[in-house]
Amino acid sequence: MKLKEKLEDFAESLTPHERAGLKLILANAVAESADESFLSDDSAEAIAYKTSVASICRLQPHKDMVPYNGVVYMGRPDFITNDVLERLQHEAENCREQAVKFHSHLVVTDAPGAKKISRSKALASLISGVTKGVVSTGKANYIYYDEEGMGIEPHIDNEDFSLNVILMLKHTYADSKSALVLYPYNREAEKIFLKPGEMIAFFADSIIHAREKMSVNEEVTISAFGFKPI
Amino acid sequence: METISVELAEKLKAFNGSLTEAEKANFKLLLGLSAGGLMTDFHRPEKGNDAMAIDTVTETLAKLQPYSGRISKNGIAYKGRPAFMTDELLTDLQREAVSIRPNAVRFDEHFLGPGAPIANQFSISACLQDFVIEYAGEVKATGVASYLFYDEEGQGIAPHIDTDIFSLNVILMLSHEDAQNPTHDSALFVFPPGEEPERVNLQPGEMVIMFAGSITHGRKSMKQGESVSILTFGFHPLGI
Repeated sequence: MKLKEKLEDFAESLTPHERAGLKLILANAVAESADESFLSDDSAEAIAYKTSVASICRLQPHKDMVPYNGVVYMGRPDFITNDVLERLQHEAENCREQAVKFHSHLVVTDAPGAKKISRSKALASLISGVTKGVVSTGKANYIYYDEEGMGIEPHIDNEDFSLNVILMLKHTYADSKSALVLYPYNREAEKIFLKPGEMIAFFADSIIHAREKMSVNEEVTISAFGFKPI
Repeated sequence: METISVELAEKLKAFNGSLTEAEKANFKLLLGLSAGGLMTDFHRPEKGNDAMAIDTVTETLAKLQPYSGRISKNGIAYKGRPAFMTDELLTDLQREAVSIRPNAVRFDEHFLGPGAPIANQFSISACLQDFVIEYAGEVKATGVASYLFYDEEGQGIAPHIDTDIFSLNVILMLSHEDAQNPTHDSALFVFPPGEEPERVNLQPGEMVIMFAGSITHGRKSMKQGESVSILTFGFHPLGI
């Protein structure tokens, strides 16, 4: 049995709070060592990285619901009409001044329009159509990256966003554009580029992910809606 | 929160006991990497899950070794200038450091000097070994002595845990230059479990004996015009 499998078994003996702690420990090990060259590397750091990524994928009670890259949906849903998108974009823009800085991004929580989407039947129906046994946590954030260098290092999300549904609201750039990056176990990292109106739903508590840093004159605004397994 | 970190640390220690030696090394590295990720800019997270996680990691790392009972809260067994570190010996080591600096190899955020006769001889000397044993218990010299140079702005080492070769690390300060700020910005920092990080200031000739494979530590980065040269010696703790 390999270390990652031993960690998986060990996690099952922990309380939910302890498991969350272990998950955070492993995620920070990944954040410190994330390097794609590790895929073809047998160094100690590469093994630690791969072990952490593999273990995080398998720590959750709902591990069998999680695809290899965590993604259960990507595309533009019918209910995100141009009108709905414009309303959310407008609300996000109006809320920008209230945003609170976390590390290298800014957040506004629970704005009314975003909250309404998070609780909507349309979103619930979309998500229940692609993965069973999850419900909305009612959490809805606007997240802004609007300065050069802003982004989020590789991490995993907390239980409020076990399944994170991200809607791209705005992405402008001059020369190069940043991606949402997913780190599946034993595979190349996957770069996701969403256009405004497009959405991705993925198990953010199980797959390490990051937002690449903003380049010069690049800005990204997203809305994130939280779901969790029942 | 504090109770959870202690209980999880105990469980992780027990888990470590179930691993093979190779897996233990891997697990220790993984925890060390995590400590570096959780200590943002040498600050301990004050609250929430990050605080719980860093306390768990540092507590676990401090307790993984069979000789953990010998390790003080901050991992430091000795700090000061031993009598055998005479001005003459210090000057010889400082000169040797300067002489090999041009051949030093760049690592991530510092330069590593290649083997040097005076340092190598001193690393296996009876006076050093006896002194380390007096303060840290039974040890065996690895014979590895390394000159480390931090002489570019931004160089330093993020919080980490040392490899087995430096499980017990003796650090000798050779020089710390800073024309702009005589009190210095950079320093060695240690991260005792559940407590605030400790700044460890060393004058040239002063030495610290530290359980570097168990206590998270790092060197805060150099400011403009600042430079540090140290000499480190690796020891293996023996027994319990």
